[in-house]
Amino acid sequence: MSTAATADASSSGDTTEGSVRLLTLQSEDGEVFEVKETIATQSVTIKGMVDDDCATSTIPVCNVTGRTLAMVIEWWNKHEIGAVSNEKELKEWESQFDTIDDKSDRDDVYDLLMAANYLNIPTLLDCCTSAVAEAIKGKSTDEMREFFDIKSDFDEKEEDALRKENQWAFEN
Amino acid sequence: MTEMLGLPEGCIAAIISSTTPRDACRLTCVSTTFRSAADSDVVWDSFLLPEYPSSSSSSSSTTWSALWKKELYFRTCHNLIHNGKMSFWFDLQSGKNCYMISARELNIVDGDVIYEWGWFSIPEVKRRFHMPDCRFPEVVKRSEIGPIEIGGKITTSLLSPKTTYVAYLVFAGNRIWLGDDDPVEVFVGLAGSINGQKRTVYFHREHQDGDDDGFFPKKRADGWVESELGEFFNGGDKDGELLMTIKTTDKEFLLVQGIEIRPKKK
Repeated sequence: MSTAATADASSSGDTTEGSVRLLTLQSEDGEVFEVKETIATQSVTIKGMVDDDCATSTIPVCNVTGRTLAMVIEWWNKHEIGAVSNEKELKEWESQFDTIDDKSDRDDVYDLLMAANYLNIPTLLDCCTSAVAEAIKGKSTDEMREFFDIKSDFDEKEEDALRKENQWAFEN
Repeated sequence: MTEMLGLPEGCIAAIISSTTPRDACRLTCVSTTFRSAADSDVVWDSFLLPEYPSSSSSSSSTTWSALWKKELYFRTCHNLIHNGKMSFWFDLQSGKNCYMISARELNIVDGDVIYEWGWFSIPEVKRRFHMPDCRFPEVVKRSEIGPIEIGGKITTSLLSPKTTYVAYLVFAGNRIWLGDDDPVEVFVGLAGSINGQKRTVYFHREHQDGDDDGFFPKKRADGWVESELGEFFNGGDKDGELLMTIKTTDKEFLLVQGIEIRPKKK
């Protein structure tokens, strides 16, 4: 995924480009991005800050790295009204988030989920949650653990009881 | 880098909400974090709504809002609605709405032939016809020879949108019609539309391996048999009425439980 954001470390605070106000976002690892307010307000969190007049200085975006924030900004740019000519083109572009068989793709999606959750970006959140959901549908419990790269923290007895409780879900 | 388990529980719950009830129950067994997200009300609320009909609580005195949502979900399995004349439940794999229209709600009274049909309570059915249990308090029995015409209808707004449904007649075992291979004309389609599905099926023996699918009745898990009437794709039309009819020539014995409508298996 490429970076379509304007990275400019020299300025902070709100500036204007033409008549469009620019907001300054800073990632957890210190990368600074200048983004048009009209685009960044796709984030409900940022929109709240703008509405409350709290977006005048650099906005720290906690828990989100510069790499992920660049992807988020790319998402905003694509989803700005008029950025793509039709819905089909947008869906095609979004489809790069749909295949997450690779572990590295999966890590990107988790990072994006974290960012979409923190910044409250409904479209991105929906896209990432359904990508993960589609990937795990129909998988067995063991396959799900492998997919998420986690181990069971139940003891044997607990797991047996849970399986019994949800018996119908294990029958074909 | 974010780990799956580093995600807020709300995110994990949102992911689970986009799967199916079946997947959610399997996810419960993955780990403690997943169990707490997979059992959460947020998840089961999403499986219940917005397709959960508000009329479905009429047969129960339980305060639905006080129930744990997962429990509510499973309690609504085979819940009687419409004054006990219809059974409603969720297909556990897809989460889609399913219904059985009881014999009482079917249109089986054709002109002056009402006397040919008799109503039987379930204890009576069990004792006299050795039939297993049934969803409704009574079933209808055909007791004289004559042509048979049965009709059922359901408002499409009760069905889940964008779903292909299959309708089935649920009736008594094949032994009673053995040897009588008269064709049965079945129809499924929207009222007022010309695009219904008309087919010919047979009731005289059960489905066997090698038979074309859908032409002979199949044994159900509950001991009754069901015959496929046809398919219907519900595009989400709010005002439509789905009609299902069964017509055949002279039959003497027929024990009908109702017409079941459930999503087509993929």
